[in-house]
Amino acid sequence: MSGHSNLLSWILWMPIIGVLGTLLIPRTKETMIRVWSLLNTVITMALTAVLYMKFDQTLPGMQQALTEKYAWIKQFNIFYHLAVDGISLPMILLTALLFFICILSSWTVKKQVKAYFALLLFLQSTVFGVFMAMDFFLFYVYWEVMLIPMFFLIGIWGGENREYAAVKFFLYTFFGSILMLVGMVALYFVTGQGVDSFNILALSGGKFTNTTVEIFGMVLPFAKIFFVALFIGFAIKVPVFPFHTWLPHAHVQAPTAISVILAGVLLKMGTYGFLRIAFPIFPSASVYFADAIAWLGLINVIYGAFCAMAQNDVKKLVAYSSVSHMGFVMLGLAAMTVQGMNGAVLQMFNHGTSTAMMFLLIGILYERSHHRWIVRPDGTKGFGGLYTQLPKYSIVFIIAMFASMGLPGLSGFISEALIFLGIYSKFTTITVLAVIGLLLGAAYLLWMFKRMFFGEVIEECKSYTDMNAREIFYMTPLCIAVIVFGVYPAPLLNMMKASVGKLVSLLATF
Amino acid sequence: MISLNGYLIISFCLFLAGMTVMIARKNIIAILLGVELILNAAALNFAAYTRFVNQNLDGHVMSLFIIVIAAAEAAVGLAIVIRFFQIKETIHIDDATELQS
Amino acid sequence: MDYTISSVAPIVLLPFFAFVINAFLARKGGKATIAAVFLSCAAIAGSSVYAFRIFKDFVWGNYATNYHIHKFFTWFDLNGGGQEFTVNMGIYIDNMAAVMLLMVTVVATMIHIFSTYYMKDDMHYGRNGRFFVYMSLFTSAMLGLVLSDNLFSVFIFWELMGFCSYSLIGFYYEKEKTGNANVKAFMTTRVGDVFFLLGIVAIWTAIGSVGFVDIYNAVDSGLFTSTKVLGMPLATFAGLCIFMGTIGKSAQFPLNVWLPDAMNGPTPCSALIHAATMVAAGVYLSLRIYPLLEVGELTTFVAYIGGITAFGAATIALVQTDFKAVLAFSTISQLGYMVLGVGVGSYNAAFMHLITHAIFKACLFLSAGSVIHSLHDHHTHQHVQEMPRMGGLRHKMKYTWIAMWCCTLAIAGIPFFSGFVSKDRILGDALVAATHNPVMAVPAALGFLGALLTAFYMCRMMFLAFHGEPRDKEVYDHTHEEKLSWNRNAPLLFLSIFTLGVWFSGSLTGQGLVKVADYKNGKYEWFQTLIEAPKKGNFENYKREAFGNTDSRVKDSFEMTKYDKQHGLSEAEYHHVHKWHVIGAIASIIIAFSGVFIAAMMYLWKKWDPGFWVKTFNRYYRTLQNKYYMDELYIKGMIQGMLLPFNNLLAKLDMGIYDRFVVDGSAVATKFVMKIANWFDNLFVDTIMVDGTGASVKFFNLVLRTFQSGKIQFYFIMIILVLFGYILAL
Repeated sequence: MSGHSNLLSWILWMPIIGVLGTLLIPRTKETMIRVWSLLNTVITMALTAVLYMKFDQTLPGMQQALTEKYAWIKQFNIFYHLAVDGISLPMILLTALLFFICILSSWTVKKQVKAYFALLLFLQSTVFGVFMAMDFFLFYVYWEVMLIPMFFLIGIWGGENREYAAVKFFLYTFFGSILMLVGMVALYFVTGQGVDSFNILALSGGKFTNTTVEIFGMVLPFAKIFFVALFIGFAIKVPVFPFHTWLPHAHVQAPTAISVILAGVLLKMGTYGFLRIAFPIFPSASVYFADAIAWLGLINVIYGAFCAMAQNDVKKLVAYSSVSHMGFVMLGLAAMTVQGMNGAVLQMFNHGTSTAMMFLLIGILYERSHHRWIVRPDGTKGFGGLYTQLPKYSIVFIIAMFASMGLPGLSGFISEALIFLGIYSKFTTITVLAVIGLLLGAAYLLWMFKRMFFGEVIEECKSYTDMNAREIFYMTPLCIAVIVFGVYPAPLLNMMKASVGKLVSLLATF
Repeated sequence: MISLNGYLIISFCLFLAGMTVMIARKNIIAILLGVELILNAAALNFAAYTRFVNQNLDGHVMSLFIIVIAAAEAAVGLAIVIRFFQIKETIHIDDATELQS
Repeated sequence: MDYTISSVAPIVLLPFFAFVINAFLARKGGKATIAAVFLSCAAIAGSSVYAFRIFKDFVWGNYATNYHIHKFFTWFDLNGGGQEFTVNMGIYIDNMAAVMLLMVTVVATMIHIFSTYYMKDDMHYGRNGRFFVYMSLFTSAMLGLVLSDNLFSVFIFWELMGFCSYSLIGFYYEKEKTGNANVKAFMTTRVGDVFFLLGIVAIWTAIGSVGFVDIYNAVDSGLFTSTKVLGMPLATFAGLCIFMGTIGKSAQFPLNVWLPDAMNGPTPCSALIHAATMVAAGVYLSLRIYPLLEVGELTTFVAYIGGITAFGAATIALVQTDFKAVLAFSTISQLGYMVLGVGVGSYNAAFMHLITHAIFKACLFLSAGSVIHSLHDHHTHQHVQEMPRMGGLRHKMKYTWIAMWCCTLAIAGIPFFSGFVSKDRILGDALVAATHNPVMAVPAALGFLGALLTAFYMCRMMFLAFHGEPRDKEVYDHTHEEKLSWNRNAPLLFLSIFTLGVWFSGSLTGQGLVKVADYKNGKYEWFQTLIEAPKKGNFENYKREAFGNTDSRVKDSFEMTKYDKQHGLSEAEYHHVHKWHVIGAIASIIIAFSGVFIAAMMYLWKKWDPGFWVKTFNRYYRTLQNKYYMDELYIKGMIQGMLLPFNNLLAKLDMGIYDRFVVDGSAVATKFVMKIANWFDNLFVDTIMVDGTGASVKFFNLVLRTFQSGKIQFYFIMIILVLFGYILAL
């Protein structure tokens, strides 16, 4: 079955064209490199817009008209197989948007501009690859290759402790990938190495419910064992407690744009992995482990929020808030109801926009202050009276903050409400406990805001300038997204509801 | 008509020359040259055997591979030598002691 | 009167558009800001015209209790892939909503007009515009809440109002104090809100909808009692959760601590948000879910909360010296009365008190604003809010004085003023409830005691501020004579007209004239006639499938003249109720007058010395001044004492212990395993092998070691030698 359109390939390879372009431009022509990268992301965005137009929202599952499937390594039945459905499309759109914004926000990067932009664009291509690949092997390749640009982007352009953070990020996620590799290989052999052994779509549907596997002489249920392997692999990326500690390090050390990508897109790859691979391939095991996933999600929500409240580094605070918010996604996934799942996918998108705003804003502030202490270790105030000093900045910050804490009318609310609605029918106790997370979520953000923005302007803040035109320009699309999808989430939900509904129906039969 | 032995002797000589250079010389570039010589000896052997024994294209292909690898190796090797020189300002092999504990 | 969503929507959308436009316009300053201010005022005035039309259609000359309009549309749905779920939004207008709409829009209009006076000083900061931005958003959200047909959209507007409240309390953001106050306000109400959300989720899951009509139907069909959540009936669980929302938003005990701090905002916003409308929205909500509270057997709990709040806040108000603080505590106390009313089943009186309170409290706050704004301390350049520095102000500002006295008499429960009509009825119903259920005697008693205190502290405030001799001569002398102006005292006087009881105890005839209720001729008070708790069977003929998006209103067929005052009570019960109502009315009149009298004796005629009481009950006095130490309990005890240390501990555990020891520890452990292997290797090779096999091995070992020269050429020779050896061996 060959594809009718090469649109997905175009989107996937367009950033690579960008990489080649940046490599051809001399190192000294920094502005040219920046403009070229920007142009590239704009073209990619335009292509994703075309993708959105061509996307048929009524179809559940993969869009046949957009699927591409070519043999890649024939001997092992590995295919270059790209497709999109309602779960991946929002992520692809989000990726295109965030990379465009990141290029703009990286305008001020001074160190090795050429390599930076080349790696950033390379990263974009690998992220697209993860969201489009329907061949498990291809998925794995992109999943792994993605680590390389991330490693260098954190390790070279990061903060003081960047090597530690980069190595930690790499090793941690690599550990997860290896478990995923085990799962992949196991699937390959259990399906008899046939044509569809790496085909995620063909593997889906609960074929391994009754398969057993012998490990160390014990006969064990295949699905449960390898669901756990895949689960840990994806959970590290999400990150699910107790695999979360790489995140604060990576966020604090990473440059602004990379934090944005990390929180906005890369974390979603973990939950996307559940939706695309772990749940459809092992539905019986997913249902079996739903309780555990829900409890882990709850711990994420509460624990992340508590830890966030204790932070004095504002970026670390937002990093922990990501842990908390991704916990909501896990809760929604564990619910396996139509509201919960849709809420989870919506939350993936919404958290992508709102947390990206938060990190961008912190980056903007960092460019002025060169520190991120709410309260310095010696007890003095790091910031104070920013509301008076930076009025425009404050307004955007308020929008981002309230979107993040789920104020109705802004995007976070709908997804959180849907998740609660979904989870309640399955796990009442967990729901009752999870609302504490909502409370804490408001508490740490407002407390941070109060400490940074209210009161008299402290001496060192008096030199800060308000957001410039470029900064306002790249914050605007996110502000609009946050408000529009908060008031009217239907465009996003219409995109995903058919595909999500299909998955929910599948899970409901187990 | 040169016999197979002729080719083998030549290639053996080449190999010996390369080996000698590699063992005896302390200049890294010279050692690289020695490596090239050994590779050439191998390539010549392949070509000769395929001509006289197999009579198919396998050996030719192998020789081509070796040429390409030799070129790549030379490029990488020389790059390393240049960096080495930039750091140490010498290309004496015994000065490459970074990995000695 | 054929209402569709689009014909009602402007009432919400006008202020909302004003908000959107002003959000871009307001900050520019100068003419743009003036335009923004004008736009906000015009928008809310436009809304009030719409609201008046609805009021006229529903209430004025249309005496039908259960008349309502319900229209909805699909906001979004999750239908697809074999799954279905729809979220609807819609409007639900009944008599209560119609009255509420008119109240909100009229009060908001007056407050907007007053704000143009009060916020004038902030004009040159461009701040004036920002104020109106939030005010417009707030009004829009409040009206949306009133029109909502389901709990979910109530929650949305509820939270939006919370956001506006947060922003307006923090309006003077350069003050450290406002930062504390608005976080406190938002977080305290948020405690209630998350439970509210939980209640919504519980109901939604159980009955598949959170529309009011569906809820009432489900209550009728017994779904709320048959479904169990965490061991209790759904009605109890959901009712409790949603009532937690009321406790938070309406500042009921124990979440009452935020409202006094909320007074850090500009006074008009205190008037609109923290007195008249937003805080009343909590009561409005509990009226909307009244059947749930009844079925869930929560009424006693509600009554206790209301009684405790009404009395407790009144006691605190006794000792406040800040002008606005007295009003803030009186607001809490009055909200307590409304909640008490809900608890004792006095549905329409609770709602009436909501309306009357909104009007007189808005007026009180505006008057306070008018007073504070003209009092100026020339040393600190701050407005004066402290009552000990006021006194004798009636000579300087007589319009404010008149308006404020009207409201004070109303809140004190003096006959012929609105507060009397509503509060008396709540207290009467509390007495009736107490006769049925002795447990209810406590909230009823607290209610009566609170009424005494209310009359006292309000009059105390009036006497201290307006009567007697000026205590701070300098401030007094700098105060300008009040002149009649359209945006300062006109709104006050307008609102004070509606503090008269006749508007509420009267009957509106079809022709729209106010007449005193004439029971004998079947002309009852319009409030009692029209506002009635949703009762079994009211919604029987309502079927969502049948009506869908079309006109789904239900009109009862009964006529005004057939209206049965007894509401289905038996003859004996009716007389019992009537008897206790009369007793309650007499008691509350006596109490109100004695409160006024005591205040006059202490502060006007100065016959009794308040200092004596302060000295005698010094300990209690200090407790009251410290608001029963609730702030300390929450902030020092719970937040600083428990939450923050717990957070820090957890964060330290996370990064210090878990990350360092478990995660990094696993890396260290790997290294450790490596070292053991290395050590074992050394031991094995160097010691055991050597000792075991003797010197030859040792020699061999040494030889091998010499191979490790690090010289590449040496290695190469070795390779060649081995290779030759191998070839030779062949």
